[in-house]
Amino acid sequence: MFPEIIDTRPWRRAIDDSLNWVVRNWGDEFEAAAYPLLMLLNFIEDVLIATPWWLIMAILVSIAWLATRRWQLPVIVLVSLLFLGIMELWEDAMTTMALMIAATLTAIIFSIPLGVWMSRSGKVRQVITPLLDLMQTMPSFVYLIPTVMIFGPGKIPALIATIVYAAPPLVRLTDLGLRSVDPAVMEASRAFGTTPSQRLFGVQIPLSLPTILAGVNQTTMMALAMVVIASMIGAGGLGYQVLQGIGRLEVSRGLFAGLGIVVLAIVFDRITQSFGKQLQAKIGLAETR
Amino acid sequence: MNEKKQDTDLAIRMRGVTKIFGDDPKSALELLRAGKTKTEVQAETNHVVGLDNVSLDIARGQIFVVMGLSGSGKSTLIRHVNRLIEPTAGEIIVEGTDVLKMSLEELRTYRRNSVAMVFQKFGLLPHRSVIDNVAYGLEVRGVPKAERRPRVEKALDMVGLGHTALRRIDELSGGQRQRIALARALVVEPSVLLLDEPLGALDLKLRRQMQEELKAIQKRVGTTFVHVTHDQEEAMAIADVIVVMNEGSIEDQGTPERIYLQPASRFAANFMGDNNLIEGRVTQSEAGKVRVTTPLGDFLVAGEAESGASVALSLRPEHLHPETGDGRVALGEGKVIEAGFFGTHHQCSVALEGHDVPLKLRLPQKRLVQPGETLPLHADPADMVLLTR
Repeated sequence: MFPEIIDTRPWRRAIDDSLNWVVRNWGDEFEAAAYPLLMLLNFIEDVLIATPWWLIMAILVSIAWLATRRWQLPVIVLVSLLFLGIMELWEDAMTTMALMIAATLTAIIFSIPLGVWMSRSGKVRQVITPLLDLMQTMPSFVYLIPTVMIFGPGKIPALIATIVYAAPPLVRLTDLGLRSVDPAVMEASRAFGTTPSQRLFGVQIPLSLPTILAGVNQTTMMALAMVVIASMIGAGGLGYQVLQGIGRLEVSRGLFAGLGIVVLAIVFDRITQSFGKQLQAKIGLAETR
Repeated sequence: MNEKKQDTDLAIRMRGVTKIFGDDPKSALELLRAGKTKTEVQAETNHVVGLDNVSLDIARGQIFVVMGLSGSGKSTLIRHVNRLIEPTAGEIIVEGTDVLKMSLEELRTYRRNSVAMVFQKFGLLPHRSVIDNVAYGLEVRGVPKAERRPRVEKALDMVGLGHTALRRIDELSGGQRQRIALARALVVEPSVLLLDEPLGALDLKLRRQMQEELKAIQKRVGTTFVHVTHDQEEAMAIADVIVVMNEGSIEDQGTPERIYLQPASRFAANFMGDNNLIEGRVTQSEAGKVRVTTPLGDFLVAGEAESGASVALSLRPEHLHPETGDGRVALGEGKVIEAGFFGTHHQCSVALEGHDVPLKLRLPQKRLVQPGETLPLHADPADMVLLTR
C-alpha cells in the first residue's frame, strides 16, 4: 500500500462542493448559455426529419457526385442510405446525423480560430496542446457527469460531450496546415506589403484547406464514435437503438443500429475525403516541386 | 551642395548595416564593435554575424549585382532593403526615405508601391491562375479589378507569356514560372526591384537566355535592379556594378571589368573567374611601383605596399603564355598535368618547380596539348595585380 502522505479528502470534498454550488447558483445561467446550441441541434434535426427521405438521398448522392465526378461513390452512398431506410432506421439516423452535424459545425466555429491562434504563437501552442490531449484521452464519463449535473440529462450534455471529444483533431490539423504553408510563398506575400489578415485569408487558409478539411473529416468520424455514449444521456438516435439492443439482449437490434452508424460514417468519411482530394488537386501543390 | 546632388541620383544607400542572428543581438554587437572577429563572437555568444558593417550606394537605374558563395550574406543583404529582415544596426535609405524609421503601416505602403521582389523559389500562389498571380500586388494595394486587367496583360506580354494568362501555375515550366514571378513584381511598377537568385532554379541554357531578357527588360523599364547571384558569368553579363560579399562583409565593389582586371583582394580575385595567385614578399617599394619576390622570380608591378609585406600577385590564365613576347618575362618551365578542351580554348594546369599550386593557363583553340608535355611559361608583369588583402 502506498503510504498516505497527505489527506486528500478535503480536496475531493472541495471539488464536489464547488460543483454542487455551481449547479445550485449558476445552473440556469449555464443552461441559458447553452441554449443556442440546443436551438441549432433542434433546428438541424427538425429540418432533416421534415425533409422527405428521397430528397435527402438525392442531395447526398449529388454531393457525392460533385465530390468525385465518378459513379462509384454516389452508388455507395445510395446503397448505404437505402440500407438505413429498409432497416427502419431512417428517423434515428437523421437524429444521429443532426447531432453529428451540429457538433461538427460548433467544433469548426471554435477550432479553426483556435488553430489559427496556435499557429501564430509557440506559447499558445504549448498551453493548448496538452489541453487537447486531455480532451481526447480523458474518459468521456468523467466530464459527462458534471455536464449532466449542470444541464440535466438531455441533448445539451450529449452535444457538449461530443464536441469536447471531436474538436481536438480539427484544432491540431488547422494549426499544422497553417504552419506548413510553403515559407517561400509566405515570404513573397509579405514582400508585397500584405497585412497579416490578407496573408491569413488570401494565402494561408486557401493553401491549408486540404489539411483543414482532413481535420473536419476526423471531427465527423469522432462525433459519430460518440453517439452511443451520447444516447445514454438522452441524445436518442441510432445510439439509443444500440443501447436498447444491449439492454434487452436483442442482438439483431444492436447489430443493425450499429451497422447503421458504420454506414453513416462511411458516407460522410468518403464525401469529405473526396472533397479534400479535389482541393489538393486544385491547389496543385506542384509549386514546391 | 555637391553631396546633395549626388544623393538624388541614389536609389539605395546603406551605411554600417550589421545583422546578428540570435536571441540577444545587441550584446553580440558590442563584442563585434569591440574588435572581436565573427568566429569569436559565434564561439562566445552563439550568435551568427550575418552582415558586418556593410555600406554601399546603388545608383538609380542600375543593375547592381550582389555576388558571393552561399552563406556569404547576399540574400540577407537584399532582404534588408524591404525589411524582410530587420538589421541590428545601421542606416538604410531608399529613394531618400529612411526605411528603418517607417511604422508598420508605412512599411506596408512602401512594400506595395516602391519595392518588389523576385525569389529563387518563385513564391507563386499555387491556388491562383497566372493572371491572378500577376495581379496579386495590385490587388493587395487595392487597385480596382477593371484597372488591374490591362496592367497585368502588359506585364505578361513583357515577359512573353500573354498566352498563359488563364493557366494554372503547376501547368507551367520552371522558366515560365520565373517569368510570371518577374511579371508579378514588375506590374506594380516599383522603383527598386530585388531579385534573389532569380535564375538559380533554372538550368544553365535557360539561365543564359533569361539573363539576356532580364537585362533587356531592365533597359526598357529603367527600374533599379538589385540582383543576387552566385554565378559569376551571369553577374558579369548583366551588371553595371558588382559587389562581392564574403562572410557578411564586402570584399570588393566596382564595375565587372574593374573587379575582374583589378580585384581588390585574394578572395575577389579567386571568386571572379579563373585565377592564379602567386604569393610573395615586397622587397622594394617606390612611388607607385613595388618589387615582389616570389618563388617564380622577382617582378616589378604597379601598386603600393610596404617593403617586407607579404602580398600576392593575381595572374589570369589568359595572361600566361608559352611564347615569349613584348614585355614578358620567363617564369620557368612547367609540366602539364591536366588539359581540357573548352571549345574556344584549351585550359591546362601546369606544375612549376618551386610553386606548390599548379598554374592555370589558356592555350589557343588549335594548339593541341598533352599531359606530361613540358611548357615554358611567360607573363607580362603589367598583367599582374598586386593584392595586399
